Amino acid sequence: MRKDSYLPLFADAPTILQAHQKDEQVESILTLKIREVLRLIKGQLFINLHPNEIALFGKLLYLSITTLRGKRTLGEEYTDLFIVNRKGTNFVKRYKRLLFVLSYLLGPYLLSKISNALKYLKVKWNLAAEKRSNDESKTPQDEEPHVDTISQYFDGLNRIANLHLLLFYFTGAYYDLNRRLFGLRYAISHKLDNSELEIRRANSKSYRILGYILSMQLAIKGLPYFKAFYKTLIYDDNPISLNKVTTKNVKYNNEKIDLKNPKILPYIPEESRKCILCMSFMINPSCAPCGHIYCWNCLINWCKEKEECPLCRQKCDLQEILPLR
Amino acid sequence: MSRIIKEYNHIRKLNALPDNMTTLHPVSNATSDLSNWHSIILGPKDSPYHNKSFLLEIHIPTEYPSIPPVIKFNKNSIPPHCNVNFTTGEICLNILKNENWSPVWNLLYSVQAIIQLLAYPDPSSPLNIDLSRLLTLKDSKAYNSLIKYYLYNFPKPELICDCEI
Ligand SMILES: [Zn+2]
Ligand SMILES: [Zn+2]
Ligand SMILES: [Zn+2]
Repeated sequence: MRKDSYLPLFADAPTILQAHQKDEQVESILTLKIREVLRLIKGQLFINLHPNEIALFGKLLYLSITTLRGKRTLGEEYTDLFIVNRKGTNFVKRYKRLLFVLSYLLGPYLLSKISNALKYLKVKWNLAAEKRSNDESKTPQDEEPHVDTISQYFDGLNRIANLHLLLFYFTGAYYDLNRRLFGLRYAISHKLDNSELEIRRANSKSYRILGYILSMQLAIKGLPYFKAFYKTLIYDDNPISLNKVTTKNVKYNNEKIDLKNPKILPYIPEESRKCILCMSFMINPSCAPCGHIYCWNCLINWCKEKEECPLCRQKCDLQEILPLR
Repeated sequence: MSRIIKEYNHIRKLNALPDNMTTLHPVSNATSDLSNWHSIILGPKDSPYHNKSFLLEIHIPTEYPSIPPVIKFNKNSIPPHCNVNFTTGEICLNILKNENWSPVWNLLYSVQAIIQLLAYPDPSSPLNIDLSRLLTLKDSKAYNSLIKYYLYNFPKPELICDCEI
C-alpha cells in the first residue's frame, strides 16, 4: 500500500456496499457451516432455539479473523478496499477495531434482547390487567405507559439508523454508526486513472438518487412520529424514565415446557393445549411457519417425513420451526 | 406407538361408533399389542352395498402416525368395487397413500374414509378394470346389478372375525 507517496482516495458508496454484500454472503455461508456442526453436536432443537446467537457467533468469528487481526475481509479484498482512520492518514488502532467489532455485534443483539424482554413484560401486564379488571373494575394505569414509551424509544433508535443510512447514500463515508463512532473509513488501495474516476463518480450520483427516495420515504413515515413527539414536549405529563423498568423478572429457561401445567404459557387457551399429533398435552410447544402448534418432537418427526404442516400443508422447513418459550 | 394407545382409549370410551361402522377393535386380546385391528363396516344406504357388511384388516406400522395405517379387506370379505383389488383385498384410496397422508388423521377417520369410498367409487384410479369401465360408461344400472349379483351369497363377516369383543 503506497501511503507514503499520496493519501489514498476514500471509497465511494457503491463500492462499500458491494464489499458489504460480499461479506454478508461469506458470513451466511460460515453460519450455515457452524449450524451443521452444531446440529451434529447439540441437535436441531438447540439450533432452532438460538438462531440469533449462532448468527452472531458466525459474524464474530468472521470479523475476528479479518478486521480484528488487521486483515482485509473477503468483501474488502474483492472490491480492493482497506480500512483507514478518519483522515485517511493511517491505519486504525487495534483497540478501536476491537471496540468496533464488539459494539457492531453486541449492540443490536442486546437491544433486541431488551426490547423482547419489554414486549414480554407488556404481555404479562396486559394479562394481569385483564384479570384485575375482571375481578374488580379497577383500571391499572400506573405501570403500563412506561413500556410504550420505551418501545417508542427503540423505534427512535431504528429511525436514527435509517437516517444514518441516508447520510451514507449521500456522502458515502461510513456505512454504519459503529464505524462512524470508532472512525473506520474505507479507502481504495490502488491508484485510479481518469476513466475509473469517471465511472465511480457516475455510480455515486445514482446512489444519491436512492438517497433522495429514501429521505422522502423517511419523511412520510416520520411525520406522525414527530407530531407525537412534539405533543409530548408540550404536554409533559409522563416523562421518560428508563430506570423504572427492570428486566429482572423475565426468565429464559431451557427446561422442558409441559403444557399439562396450566401456569406454563398461560396465554394458550385450555382447548389448544393438546397436540393433535400425539393427543396429549404439548411438550415443548413449537410453531410451524403457518402458525399451527404441535409438540417439538411430534412436528420434527413428521417434518423429517415431509416438510409441511400436518394441518394446512403449508411448507414447513425444519429450520423454520419456532419453539415457544 | 403411544399415539395408537391414546386412540384406543378414545375409541373405547365412545358411546357410539360413526355411521356404518359396526366394530373397530384390536385383533389380539392382549392390550399391549395394538398393531393389528379389525373393523366391520356396513355398506352405506343408497349404495349397492347396502345391507351388506365387510371385514377390514388394519395394520398399524411402528412409524404411525408418521406413515398411514395399512388397510385392506379380509380375503373372504372383498366387495366388488372399482378401487378394490378383488383377489387381494387391497384398497386404493389416496389419503391412505404415504404422499397424501397427514398425521392429523387417525384410525377412526381412515375407516370412515373407506366407508365413504364404498358410496363414492373413483374410476380414475381403478384396481378393478371391469367395474371402472362400467362406471366411466355411466351405466349405473349394469354397475349396480353386477355388484348385487356378486354380493348375493356373500358371507357374513361376523363369522370370519372371531375376536372376543
Ligand atoms: Zn405432540
Ligand atoms: Zn399449518
Ligand atoms: Zn376381530
